[in-house]
Amino acid sequence: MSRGRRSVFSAALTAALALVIAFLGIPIIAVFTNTSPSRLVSSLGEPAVRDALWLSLRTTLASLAIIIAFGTPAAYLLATRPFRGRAIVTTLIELPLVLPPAVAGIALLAALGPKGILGGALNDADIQLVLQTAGVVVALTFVAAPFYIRQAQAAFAAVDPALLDASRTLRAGELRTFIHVAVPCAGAGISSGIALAWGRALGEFGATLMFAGSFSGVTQTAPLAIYAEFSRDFPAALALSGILIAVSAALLLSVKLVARTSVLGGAPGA
Amino acid sequence: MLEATVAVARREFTVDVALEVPPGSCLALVGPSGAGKSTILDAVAGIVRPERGRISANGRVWLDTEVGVDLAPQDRGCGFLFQEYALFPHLTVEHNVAYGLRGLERSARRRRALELLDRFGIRRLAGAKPPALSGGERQRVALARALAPEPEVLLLDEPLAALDASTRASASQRLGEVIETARVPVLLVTHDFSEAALLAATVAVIDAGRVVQTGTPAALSSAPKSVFVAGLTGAVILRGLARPRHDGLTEVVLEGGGAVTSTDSGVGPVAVATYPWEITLEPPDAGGTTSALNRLAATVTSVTVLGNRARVGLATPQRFAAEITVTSLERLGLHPGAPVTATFKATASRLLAGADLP
Repeated sequence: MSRGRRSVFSAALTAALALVIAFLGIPIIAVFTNTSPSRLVSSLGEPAVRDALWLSLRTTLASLAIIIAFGTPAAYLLATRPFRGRAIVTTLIELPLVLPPAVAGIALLAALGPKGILGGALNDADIQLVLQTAGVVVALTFVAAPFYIRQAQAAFAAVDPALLDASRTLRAGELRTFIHVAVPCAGAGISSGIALAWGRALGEFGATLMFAGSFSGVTQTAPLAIYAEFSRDFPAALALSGILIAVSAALLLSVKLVARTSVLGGAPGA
Repeated sequence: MLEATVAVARREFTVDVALEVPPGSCLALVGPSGAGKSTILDAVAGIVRPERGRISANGRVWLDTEVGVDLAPQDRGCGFLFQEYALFPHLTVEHNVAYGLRGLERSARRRRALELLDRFGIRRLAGAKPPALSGGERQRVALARALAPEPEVLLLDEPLAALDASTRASASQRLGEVIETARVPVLLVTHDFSEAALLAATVAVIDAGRVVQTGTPAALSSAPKSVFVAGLTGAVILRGLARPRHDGLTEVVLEGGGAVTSTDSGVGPVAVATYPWEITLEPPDAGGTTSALNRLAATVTSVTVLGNRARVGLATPQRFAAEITVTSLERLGLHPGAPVTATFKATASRLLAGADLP
């Protein structure tokens, strides 16, 4: 009786998983069944596709560099120094996670656009963002940074404080302790944060479109190019989608590998 | 010489102590968990900032809140052995030990690290990472790492607590050698009085952030000043009412029945502290022509054998315990429920004033 019930339960679990895999997997497979491998390769030769991919790579890497450079110390502070209002600051940083991309675009325009609250100052400093490649980087950074900071903060918070204290008593200052103990010990969480932020930036569409526009070679990243091709040349849009899926999958896989080997197999830091 | 006077506010009480440890000597801070012992170590190392205090080591001032001196942990350079050892999991054993040797050349760092690994017999582990090590090996790596930069003060936080019983004996012996050969002040934190007695020349008993008694381990157990210290050193406690006798001794009528005699003086509610190994057990009908004045009729409540010794739980009905050899246990045929006479000397019946009775 109970054995029979258990196998019914197992069957239900298996059915649910099969449905999830089918629902999530079939659209991805469909992209590739509708596009021959030769079409994928030949589309890589088209200048518009190459421009879009190259722009996506440059802008996402630039925004990742900015996110890591400023987000890592910020996450370390949030994780290791309790202060009044820390929960509010954390919530504020997480807010872009739940913002609709269109709202993010509007918000960026309201802040940094020509008539935005910082628009005058940017204009005085001769910094142009709207409809510029730099604007793409700003939009990507705005939507992707919370993904990284959240992960990094959790990873730093999970580092045993005794390790940091041990480093300090062994004559290492705070900066050295941060570089040689905190960052390597939080390495797995940090690298998965990089993957999430990169994935989010690669797929960014709405905020970029509203804030930076969609100009081929200047602000038209791969997702914007897919949308542009979609009405004009569906097979081209499919081919570009296939390439973006391959790049994203490779990214996710490589980060999982890095996370698995980071602490035990990592390079000596001292 | 390490001199530390610190006050650190904690949630329930303020840790407020004054300590002095000469070079080459070990002071043990003993008390229950949560008494503030580790806070004192953290304050000395500079990990915790005291509200008030002054700390100096070998004449150099590390902290003086009056004049605003507060050296960072890296400028104090205490050799700190952490409770769970806090080895860097991403570095090899050799790099862990060399971590504190930043001022030296690469080859000198390597030489010093390997020299210490040799000293603790773990050179073969130089290339291993800490997660692959056993508890005893980790403790040796942590000791080597703490000693590598030749610290001016050695701080040991529950150094044996993370080890299982089988490695504790050898680890404790190794620790004893380190303490003996250290030419610097050593501050040891433990909740276990016998561990402190084994490793330290002087013991300070800490309760709720204060030092309640300081002395050699022998002085503390022969003359505990309070029920708290007596309990910590392993004494059993019997409660009763004391009144002076005409011969200069004191008689204590125990709660629940029975009476004992003590050479200490006292009046009114008191606690009688005696050690389980000072109590002799004999059959209830034995004549009893010994010099021991105290003879209590008791019932055996439990028998626990530890190696060649046995701890016999007793009730008069007040609960206490005696420690006897397994040979005696077998000869007397003791078992739970058996009647027995517990005898001990009036000189082994320390009277503690009723004021601090819990």
